[in-house]
Amino acid sequence: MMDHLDQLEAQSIYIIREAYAKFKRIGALWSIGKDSTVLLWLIRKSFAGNCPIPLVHIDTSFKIPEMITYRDQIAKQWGLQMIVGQNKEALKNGMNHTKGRLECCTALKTTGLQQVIEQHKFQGIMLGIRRDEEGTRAKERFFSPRNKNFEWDFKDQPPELWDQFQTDYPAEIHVRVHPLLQWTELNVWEYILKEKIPIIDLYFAKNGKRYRSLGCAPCTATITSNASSIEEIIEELKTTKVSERSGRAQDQADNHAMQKLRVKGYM
Amino acid sequence: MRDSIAVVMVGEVDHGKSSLVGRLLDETGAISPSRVEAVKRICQQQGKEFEHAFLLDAFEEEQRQGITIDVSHVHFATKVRSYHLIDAPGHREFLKNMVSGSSSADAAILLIDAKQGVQEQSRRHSYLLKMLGIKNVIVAVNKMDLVGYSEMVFTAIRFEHETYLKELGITQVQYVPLSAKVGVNISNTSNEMPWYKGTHLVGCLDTLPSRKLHDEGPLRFSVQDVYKFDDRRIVAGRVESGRLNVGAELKIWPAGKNVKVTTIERWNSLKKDFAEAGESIGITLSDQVFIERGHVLTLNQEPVSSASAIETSLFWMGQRPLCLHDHVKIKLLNQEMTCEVSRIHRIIDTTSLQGSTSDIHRVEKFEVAEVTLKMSRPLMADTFAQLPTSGRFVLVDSNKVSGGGIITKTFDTDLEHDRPKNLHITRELSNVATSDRNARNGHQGAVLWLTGLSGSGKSTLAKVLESALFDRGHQTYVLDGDNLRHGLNSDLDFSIAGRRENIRRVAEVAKILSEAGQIVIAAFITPFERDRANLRRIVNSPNYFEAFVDCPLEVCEARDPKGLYKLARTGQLPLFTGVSSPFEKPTRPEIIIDSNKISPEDNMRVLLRFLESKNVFVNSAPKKHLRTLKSS
Repeated sequence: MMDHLDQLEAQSIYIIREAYAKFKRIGALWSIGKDSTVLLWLIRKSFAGNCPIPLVHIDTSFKIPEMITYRDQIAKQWGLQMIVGQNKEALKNGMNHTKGRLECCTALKTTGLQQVIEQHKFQGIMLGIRRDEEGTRAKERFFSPRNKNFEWDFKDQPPELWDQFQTDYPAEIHVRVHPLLQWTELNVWEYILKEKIPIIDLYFAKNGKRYRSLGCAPCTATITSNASSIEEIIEELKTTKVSERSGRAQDQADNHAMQKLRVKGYM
Repeated sequence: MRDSIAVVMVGEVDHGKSSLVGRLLDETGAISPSRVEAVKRICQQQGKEFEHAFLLDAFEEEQRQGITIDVSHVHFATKVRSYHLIDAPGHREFLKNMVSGSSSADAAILLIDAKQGVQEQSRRHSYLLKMLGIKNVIVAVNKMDLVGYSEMVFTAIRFEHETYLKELGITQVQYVPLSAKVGVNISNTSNEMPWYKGTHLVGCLDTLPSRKLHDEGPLRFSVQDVYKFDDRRIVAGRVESGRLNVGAELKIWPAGKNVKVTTIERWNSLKKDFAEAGESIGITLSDQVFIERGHVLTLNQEPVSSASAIETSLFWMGQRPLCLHDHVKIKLLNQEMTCEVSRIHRIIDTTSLQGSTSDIHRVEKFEVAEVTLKMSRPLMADTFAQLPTSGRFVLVDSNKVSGGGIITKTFDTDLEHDRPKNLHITRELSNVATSDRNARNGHQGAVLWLTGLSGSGKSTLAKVLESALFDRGHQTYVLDGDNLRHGLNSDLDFSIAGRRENIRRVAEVAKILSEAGQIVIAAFITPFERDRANLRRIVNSPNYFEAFVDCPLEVCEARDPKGLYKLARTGQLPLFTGVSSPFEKPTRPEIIIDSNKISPEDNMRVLLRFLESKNVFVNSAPKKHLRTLKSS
């Protein structure tokens, strides 16, 4: 009998294979965090251990240094095709979070991603976002189109019935594919435990502090925690009342910060 | 790992869906206090009272206008299990989002405002739930605080909607009065309504059945892709129903080639030599046959329906209307092809809920219609009642998913076996829809096939049941072996081939009669599994039921009503079932009847209840009912 985690895994694999069958040029966004690492794992699961899809990492240059070390080590170990994108022009002009968090996220992450998608003419890009992360993501589709200006028309999303997805679009449209949409934070950790996925150790508590969500160093705070193993994190999540992205400064920058970021093409 | 089910929240706009979802999250501790605080802060800034609905309506526009634009997916857990709750918009404009949200649900909460009562949207949503195959519904009567927690108001709403749901065939329904705003009867028993003896909403949720995957029934493995990363050629896909075993003999649809499963490929998983319904796997096959996306693998010996046309109930949400003779793309499992709208039988306008049948040429946006679609090439299809996953489809118009539907009947491409000898014979489709016949008869056509030894009591039971059905005003007819051998089958002998042809003809007659709306009762020994499988394939209806009339051989022989056992024992009757020819016990009958200990009258009642449970007596067309609603 399949349990809930088995069902989530099977559905994600189905979505990944659909996207791979439908889009000739497709990439997957790997932010190095736990969700996109689970996504990467599921991609390998979908293709009998192979990863036929290039992985895109948007390097804002402000990432926590351990993240880059971990990225390069895993990429080498698993033989991944990496595309590292960086909005060099914005960085040259001195963009950083002190110019405004939303402005910085848009320039370094959104525009950085836009440049990669344009350069590689991606029709589809997979992302590890989940519906339980925050309100606007709760309203996402598995296959979510973005127009040439990268905008998300959340008022007119395509219907999704019975795992039949809308995949035919003109060239200027790209589709965000979200295989992990149905997963919760707890599911992700339970899966990491079950599959023994090598996850970056920034998530594990050192000296009473750990990261619950990973991002750029200046805008990502640790939480108080003694959870130093996957099992302990799972226990912690079962009782916590603090939201997952509470350590992410950009979310709190404005009442509708995430909506404002996401309609413009943020992940 | 705990059980998890998906529940969709539907109902008229302003009846308080988002409030109830927010309340459920709050009371089950699924939402962080910091998030509640953040929303309270926004409310304060905007100078309005905090509502639980704001926890769900994330878009600025939603909060400003106080409506839900798109579906929200949230999670919470009770002591019993965890829930994936889908908050669907009630506004008519966002029906496609409501349908998107509901299509993945295992059960639904239908919210009705106690003050406003059952509204058109309540009925429309109920209708769509039925179409989407959701059988378990909790009707939550909200805003009880505004009607003084009145039992009378609750009972009146319950009575009105119960009748409607019953007519639709939704029978697993719970009713619960509550107030989302005040927080009454959500997860705690209320003091306000001592007259209410049932459990609170969370209690109702916890009694819902677990998710059912379609493990039983025929195998459908839908091919998504074929990979060649190394020397293995991996056929990737999902087991949609049934079970796939290593070593199983499969047939590739549509080519009809036979292959054997060599391995099941999973990466970083426990090795298992089978895969069950719902699993996304890869397989390797014994032969290097041609296979590609859109093909379907089935078990070699099991029948598969190759449809040239399908009768459907569909929901249209395209920008332009769906017109008669339009060509659109159909997607079913991983199959994609063009199909033609060859007939529009009936429109059920979801706004007025009126049914109309006169000369219809188009289906407008948000309408539900019964439509026959003609395929450009054969489509592997099942009826939704038989196998939900391969009995539903979407329609794509100008690259946009514009409709969804369920299959109520398949018209088979002529299989090799039944292919007419003359190539110029085609099929004519009737102008009268099955649902029209059902509406007039007040029940559906069906075939109840009684199989069992000679003397087991098949004919007696058939006749008793026929009388009972007839007395209830139903169209019914018994097909009896001896009678048919007097006319239609008088040219056949009792050789194996003769018996086989006898059964084939009877199956064809049973099919025609059931399509004409009759409840057919067939009483035939039918000792061979192969023949029973064949006739099931010929009748090809969700309302085909095999009843095994089970009685020990000694008892049958002692009864020997026609003196046949005596003749067989003395060698005067060759190949007599049970004596000189085997009776293969049915492996998968829909029902087993004990005719040894139980009287024909009691067994007749068992069969009536059985047919009732299969919804044979549910008139699937809503027209008649909706007209009465309108006039009341």
